[in-house]
Amino acid sequence: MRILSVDIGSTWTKGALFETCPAEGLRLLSRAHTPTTEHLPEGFSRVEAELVRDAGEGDPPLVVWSSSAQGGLAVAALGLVPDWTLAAARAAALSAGARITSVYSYQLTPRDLTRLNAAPPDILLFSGGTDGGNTAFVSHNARMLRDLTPEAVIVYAGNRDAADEVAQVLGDRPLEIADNVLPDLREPTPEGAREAIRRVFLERIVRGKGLAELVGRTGAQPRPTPLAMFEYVGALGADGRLGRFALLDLGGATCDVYSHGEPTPAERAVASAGLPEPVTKRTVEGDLGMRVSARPAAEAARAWTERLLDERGLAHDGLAAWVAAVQADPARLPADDRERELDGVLAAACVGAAMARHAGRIELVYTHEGPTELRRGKDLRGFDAVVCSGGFLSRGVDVLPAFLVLPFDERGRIVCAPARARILHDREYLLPLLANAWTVAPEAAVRAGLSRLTTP
Amino acid sequence: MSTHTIVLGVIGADCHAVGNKILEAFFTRAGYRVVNLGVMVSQDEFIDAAIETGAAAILVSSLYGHGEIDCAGLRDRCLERGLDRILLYVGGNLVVGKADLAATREKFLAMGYDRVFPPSVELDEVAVLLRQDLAAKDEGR
Repeated sequence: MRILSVDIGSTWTKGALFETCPAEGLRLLSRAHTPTTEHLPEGFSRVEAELVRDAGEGDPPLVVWSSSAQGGLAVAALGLVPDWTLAAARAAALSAGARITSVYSYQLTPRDLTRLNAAPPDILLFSGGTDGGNTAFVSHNARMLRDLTPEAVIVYAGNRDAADEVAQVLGDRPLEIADNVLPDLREPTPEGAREAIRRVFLERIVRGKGLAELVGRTGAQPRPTPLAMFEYVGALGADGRLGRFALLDLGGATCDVYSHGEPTPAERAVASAGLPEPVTKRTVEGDLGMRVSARPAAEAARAWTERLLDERGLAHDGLAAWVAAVQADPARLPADDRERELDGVLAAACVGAAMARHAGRIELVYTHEGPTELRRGKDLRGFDAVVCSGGFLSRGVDVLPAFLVLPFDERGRIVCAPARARILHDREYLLPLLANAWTVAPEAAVRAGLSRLTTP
Repeated sequence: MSTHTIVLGVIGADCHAVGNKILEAFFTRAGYRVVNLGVMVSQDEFIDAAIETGAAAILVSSLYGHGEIDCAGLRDRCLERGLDRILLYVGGNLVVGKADLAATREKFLAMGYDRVFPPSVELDEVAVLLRQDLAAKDEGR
């Protein structure tokens, strides 16, 4: 069987043609890429034509594809308490491949509505209250949302006791009712909201972004690229050979961080606060990128760039000049060793900062039994591997030192980033394309992904 | 059977877990929806959980002697955050040493707690009081 996989990104439309084979799962026959076109199907067709031409004779390949073009999937999240239902709604939206554009908690105000309508998200994910819990805030917010522009689809995933009322109040506008993202404080359940977001993506958003034509022609429905990666990360993790791992996908505008793994019994024994952590988790940083976001990245990751430059004996103003150059010309690639080194520092700083935000924190609390640890978020310190993906990391940047730059955060808490992980590289940047192939050949795509990861 | 939701937890830097588990088992069997936050719970975590779950009462435990510092201000914080009708119970070794129980009770009642319990108390008695207090609260609505 041959599989033609295409990913439409915001800058590049990339594709690969695979063939199932017993040895490595999927064999790479050819690959192609072209700048993403204003009318998305154009670039897609160019890549497809190139791949099919190389394919020669035989049955037409199965087509699978994903898209993060035109800013991806924009979701605003609404919850009741910031640390509970809002946190659960955010996590659910991120796991569905969304970019969070804004967040709201407690009661929506007229001012919030004005802000939402000024730059409407694709979806408003509306949560609040555990099942059997608070309904008063949800009622209020449902009435407020009657004034939300119909361009934004509402996905309700809050207290099930209020679902009927929400359907009644908002029934005459685009609305999906899903399972509560937090039916119980100890048990976040993002699956229902994730599925509803995926449905809305297919039914409404794909149509709006000129992708319906491609659905008709290929007979295949796309997924948002980060959702494809999220599901693939889960599948790679379930295989077990990687152990517990994190995956970094660093691009020109953003840095996606995925992690997969459950706490060990020893880690479980540490007292914890806040929402229980999901086995597979995704976060995305919109200010940490290599080109479009180079300037904000250099600013946000200053602690990392300074330390990494000093370690390599590089001048600080050299990096500032390089950042200005790539911000002005996002297509710019390093031309010599010095520029390669500066780009490497920027890349390591981005993933260092992104990992520090993804990772949990441990704080030392003094009790009558002496200092005791209290954890919030995911503890990645004992993770076995970190997989680096994305064009900028594929050149083999050594990222592990970047995770050790900030052992403590600004409040003196331990940053639970990987401390002794094996660094693996997706040198050919095939993981997103294999993630698409996973939907039609799961076992083969996992085997192919694992076999393509290399140590630096 | 009651369908009220109650929030349980051990406040502050206190990691005494055993009594907390007993309370969870007892009140679950008594018919409550129990939201147990476990050990080392901050005031805001109690309040966050109570808002989100629509709880009718917060039962605070403190075993390690720092209860007075940890528990002070919880009532005000509840009011500030919109929980104006919640029942607050507190129990355990609330102060260091063998302080006079009546004085301790006075102190915690003044802090705004509705009931104050010593380390050894018959849970059945607590259950009776909780049922009465919740009924009174519901009537007042």
